[in-house]
This record gives sequence, C-alpha cells and structure tokens, in this order.
Amino acid sequence: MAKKRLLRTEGILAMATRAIRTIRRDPISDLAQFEAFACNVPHANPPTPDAKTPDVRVFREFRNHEIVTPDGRRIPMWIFADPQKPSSFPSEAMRFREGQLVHSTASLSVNTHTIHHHGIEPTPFNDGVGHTSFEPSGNYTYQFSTEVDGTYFYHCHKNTVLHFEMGLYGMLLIDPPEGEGFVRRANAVVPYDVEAVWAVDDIDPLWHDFHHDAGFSCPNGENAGLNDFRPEHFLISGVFSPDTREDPRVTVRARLGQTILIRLLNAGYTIQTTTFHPDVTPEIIALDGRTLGDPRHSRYSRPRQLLANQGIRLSSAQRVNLLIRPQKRGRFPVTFEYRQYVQGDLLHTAETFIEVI
Amino acid sequence: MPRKLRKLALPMLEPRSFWEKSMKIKITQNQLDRRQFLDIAKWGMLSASLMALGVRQGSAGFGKGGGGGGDGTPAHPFQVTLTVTEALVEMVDEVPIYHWVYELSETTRAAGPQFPGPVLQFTEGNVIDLTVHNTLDEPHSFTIPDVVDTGPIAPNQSIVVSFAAPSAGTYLYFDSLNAPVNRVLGLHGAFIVHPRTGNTPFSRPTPAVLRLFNDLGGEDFPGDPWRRERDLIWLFHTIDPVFNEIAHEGREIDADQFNLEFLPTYFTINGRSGFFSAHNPDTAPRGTIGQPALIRNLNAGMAVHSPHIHGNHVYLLSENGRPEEDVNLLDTWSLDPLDRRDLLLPFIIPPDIPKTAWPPKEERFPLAYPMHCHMELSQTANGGNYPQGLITHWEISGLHGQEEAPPHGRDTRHGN
Repeated sequence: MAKKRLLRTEGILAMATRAIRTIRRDPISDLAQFEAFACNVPHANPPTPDAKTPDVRVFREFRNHEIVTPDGRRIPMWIFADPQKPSSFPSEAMRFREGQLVHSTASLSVNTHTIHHHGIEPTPFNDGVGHTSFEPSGNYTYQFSTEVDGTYFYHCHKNTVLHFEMGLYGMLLIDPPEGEGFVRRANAVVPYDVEAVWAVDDIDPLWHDFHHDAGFSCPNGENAGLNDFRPEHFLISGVFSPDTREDPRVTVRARLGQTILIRLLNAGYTIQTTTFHPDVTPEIIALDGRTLGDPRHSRYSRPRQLLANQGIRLSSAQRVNLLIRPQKRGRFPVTFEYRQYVQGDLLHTAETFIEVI
Repeated sequence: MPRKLRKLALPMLEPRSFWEKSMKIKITQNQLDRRQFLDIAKWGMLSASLMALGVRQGSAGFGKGGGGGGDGTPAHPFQVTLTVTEALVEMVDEVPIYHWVYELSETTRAAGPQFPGPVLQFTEGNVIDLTVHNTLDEPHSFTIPDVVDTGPIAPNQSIVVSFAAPSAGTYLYFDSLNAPVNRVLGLHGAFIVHPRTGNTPFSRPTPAVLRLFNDLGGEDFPGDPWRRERDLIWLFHTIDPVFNEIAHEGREIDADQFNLEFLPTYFTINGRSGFFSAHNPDTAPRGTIGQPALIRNLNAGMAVHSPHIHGNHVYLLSENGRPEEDVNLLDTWSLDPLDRRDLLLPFIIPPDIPKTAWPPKEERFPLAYPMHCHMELSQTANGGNYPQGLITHWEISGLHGQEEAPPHGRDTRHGN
C-alpha cells in the first residue's frame, strides 16, 4: 500500500507517495476453533464432569427485571434469581462456608448464559467461560469447593461487556468454618458485629435496550458501541445515589465498641475510589478473597491499616475486606468517586454514612 | 443505536489527562556529553556490528554476549539500532491501521517493522550504544524514564546514546514527544533487565519477594523453582483509529485533544487481540502444575486496565520497578497507563477443584483458563466482537513431572 502525503514546498501542496509495509494479522489456522472462540461458542448442557455428592446446592434462573431511578425512569435489567425468591438487583447473593463442595445450577430458559464464580478456581467446565468450555442453554451444574474463605462474586461470562452491565451478577461470600459473624484476619479468625456489602456499580441506560448478542456475527460483528460507556446512574448494592445516604441496604449502624466488616466490590466499568472519614479509618484485611498474612498461601503479605483520608482505589472486579473498630460516636461519611477509565474524569461522587451510636 | 459523537475539529487546551503522569526526563550532563550525532553513513557502519554480537531477529540484547567482566564492566558495549518508521498493522478484524513503529535494524536484512517494538533484553550494568534513526517527517525520540532519553531526533537524522542497563526489572521504552501521542501511535516496547545473580528477577528483592522465590519448589509449591526462560511479557495497548488516520494523512495531532477525545476501539496484548493473543505461544502461558512463570505487565496505552486471571491467583511482585514489601495474592490487579507490574503465576492445582475430583478424569488436559481485562469495554474490537479484545489463555498441560517446562518465547513481534 502507498501512503499519500502532503508536502509543503514554497506554499504549493505537492503529492508524494512512499511504500508502507503491512504487519499482517496471524492467519486463522483452524476456522472451527476461531468461530468457537469468537462468534459461535458451542451450546451444550452436559452432565457435570467428575461429579461428586455436594454439601450444598444453589440454584439460579435467568429473569428479566426492572429498576426505577430516583427520577422515575425505568431501566430494564437481567438478573440471576433464586427460584424460591423474588427478583432483586444485584442478583441474589450466594453464601457458603469454607471447605464445602458446592453444586451451583444455572437454569436458563432465555437464550444462553453462563455463571462464572469470580475468584473461585475450579476446572474449565465449571468456570463458566464459553470460549474455554461451552454456553449452557438449559440446565448446567457447576461444581467447585470453597477452599478459601473470602469475598467473591458471580456473573454471566457471555458477551460479558453487556451481560455484566445488565445486572447478571451477585455476591458470593465464603465464611470461615466458624460461620457468619466471623472473618479471617492474618493467622486468626475474629468475630465481627456488623457486616456491610458494597457492590459499587454504574449504569449506562442506553445499553439496556441492546440485544443480548449485540456486536456478534461471524467472522466479524458490527459496531454496537460496546466500547463507548457513558454511565448516567451510580449505585451501591442496587441503591441509586443519592438514596445511598439513607437507605439501610447501604448505610452502616453500629454501637461503640462493635467491629464492622465491610466487603467492597467494584462491579462497574469506572475506576472507583472509596474514602472513609478519619474516625472510621479501616484496616485492609483481605484482597480478592485472600486474607493478607494468611499462613496457608499469603504469608508474604500483612494486613494494612489505612492512613486517615487515604482512599481505596479499585478497578473493575477487585474486592477488598475492611475491618473498622470505631473509637467514637458520630455519623461518619464515606464517599465513592467514580472516574472514567481513560480520561479520568470524575463522573460522580456517591456518599453513605457509618453511624456509631 | 451506537453514539457517533466523535468531534475532531477544535484543538482543546485544558486539561491534560490526569493519568498522563509527568514525564519530564532529566538528562544528566554526563549523558549529554556521551550523546553523539551521526550522519547516515556512520549509522550504517554502527549497525554492522549488530550481527557480530548475535542479536537475533525480533529481539535484542543478551547478557552473555557483552564480554562483561566480573566487575560488571563489559568489554564491548552492545550495539543496537532502531529505526523509527511506519506500518499498517492489521487488527483482529483485519482492518489495517496506520502506525508509527520501531524497527530493529540488522545488516543483512531488515527485521521488519514490529508492533509493539522489539523486546530489548540486557543484564544489569550492560553498556548499550543505541542508535535511533528517524525516517519519518516529524521529530521522534526513544525514552526510558530515569534511564535514557535521546531527545528529539529530527527527520532523517540519527542519534546515538550510550547508557548502562539499570537495576533488573521491567521497563517501557517509548517516544516521549508530543506525549502521549507518539507513544500511543505505536512507538513503544518492552525493555527487560536481568539481574547478575540471585534466584529472583530483581537486583534487590524485598524479604517478602525473596521468601516467595525461596519457597518455590518446596513443600508449599511442589515443582520447579523460578526459571527465567519461562518469563512472559503482557504489553497492554489501546488504539483509536481516528487519530492513527490523522497521522496517516500527515497532519499534526494535538496532544490535549488526543487526551480528551481518545476512544479506545481496539485493545491488544503484545500487538494481538482475542483469538490470536489467546493462542500465541509468546503470550499464552503453558506448563504443568509446579512450573511457575513470571509475567511482566506493561501498559503503553491510554486506559486503566483491570486484568483478571482465572484458575490461579497470582503474586504481585513489583510495581514500576520497585519490588513489593508485601506480596499480595490477587485475581484482579490494576494497570494504569505507563505502569509496569511483575507477577508470578504459580501454576498450582486450581484450589477450588474438589480434592476428590483431582486429577480430573472426565475433563482432559490441557485445562485452559482465560486472563482478560475486567474493564469489559476492553473485551471488544470495533465496538463489538466480544471477546476479541484484551485477553489471552493460559493452560495447565498436566501433572508435575509429566512434561518438561516449556520455555516461553520472547519475540513479541506482530505477524511474520
């Protein structure tokens, strides 16, 4: 190919050309393999390989859902729901104890989806990634053990850029063997009194009218604008800002002397910084489902006390466990900054409160 | 349905992207004294010494060839010649996009333009005589912050800089002019420095890093210790073809406008995306249980990435050249523009496979897992085509002892 170039010579534009070499894309060595990866992932509902008797079973079905913004706008959502329970966004949380063998069954009546239990590390068939396994169109049971206690989440891993945004995610919490109310800190299991789970998310309503296969076709799909995310709504655990200031699903209330555990997840596509009032400065005790200083696998790290006003910056899918032992009474603000992931523009600041009585 | 609100008319003045860190490079008087300006005839002579020193196509610099003495002073400086040139780089959907690229020059034949630039590897203390020749129509440079900076090289001019390879670690070299434009249009690559001694990839590992590397192959990590030949590079990048086309037309790009309006449209690791990065042996780690691999992450692009790995958590070893005091075990880590972070993929048995179901009988090796950026916009190509973006696979090929540890290539050149 030749490059046309404008040369400025004594005020006259002259055309010149010179050869430009091309760095070619690799050839497609196996078309079926390419399509199975990119645009034609196999659909299947196999029996779970190497299935064992589970200690605990959970079930999730796909549902359409709707949420209403504070100004009355209705936003279509997709969620995973417990068949026995009403719909919710985020999707219904899963909660296990360390050391259980889990069967997590997805029931998919509408199109194909997967469940990836994020941070859980099973075999590829049980990992919920279409291009390293398959996409279920009916029922599939994911098998895994809960080897390490901590904060995880689960989400659909099909056209993830869209399906995660649509609400196909929920928390996945693994308690230490002592159960709920206990958390690992370094080499010990310690009790806590109050627990808060903050899944920090952002919504671009335009995307919520997209087709589930937006951007797909073989060999190359159309431009569906899935690289252009412009969130208009900012939420914590399904509560729209500014309702996060008052809604008990987000606000924390503890008595002086109690210990607070906060599980924080970036469930959005913005860069999020969470900053606590100095009187409730937390200690970071775990990252991504691994307890800092846990002698089993994390003895190269230690719990870390944050400095006053030091923010915690998370990119998408990062989790952190925070322990707070308030030393005085009061209503202490916590702020959540949402920044665009390229330009860094501050898009929104949400707020909630930790009230110590 | 998709928004088409791209405006590229008015040059914007404020503000520069806050991600774009201050990159004012200090050039010491010593460096200035050693810089020489050559004409093209001399440039040809200098590059002739490349072959003699055994620089292979696609990457340059090996610790063995320098004749280094025990005191760390090599008998002969390494000679490396890079040419700043242009190329059309085919994206994952075969759309050719104009780029500015570095090309490693050899005497007998050109290595060909590379995207990203060639991997340059040295041992701490090696002295490098680097010749950079600019064949394009505007000034370009070669910079490794705090290590070397050619300063502007005028069109059809060459500059030689002599510098010593710094502390062992992962560095990004790039054209720092009109920042970040020239870097993001393709003028960047990985510069790797190996330590002279020790069982870690660092000159001065922290106690935590040293303990981890000492433990590899022991009770908690049955298998092999760290082996350098299994090291990999994941160089992350973002492309907005609108700006590449402006450069193609020979027009100047305003850096402020670039910062404000850049819309990542293609996402690459080591110059490839999606299916092609997932199946490239230089990008996709492979090995049996117990064959750990060091992975050097670099971000040459414009976006903050959030790489997430399935199958194993990874140990985060260093951030921007500084070994970590606390080595955290993560499944997702952040990578800002210009960041370099080294991590260790331990290749342990995926911990949440039930013990009674290991080794798997009804699933077959290799067990394949993805590593992908969780800022999921980066999983697209041209606004769709999930997952043809910033992704690779890694594979557990068997139980420990079943296979020799495969080396990973270091030639991250795009294409043939």
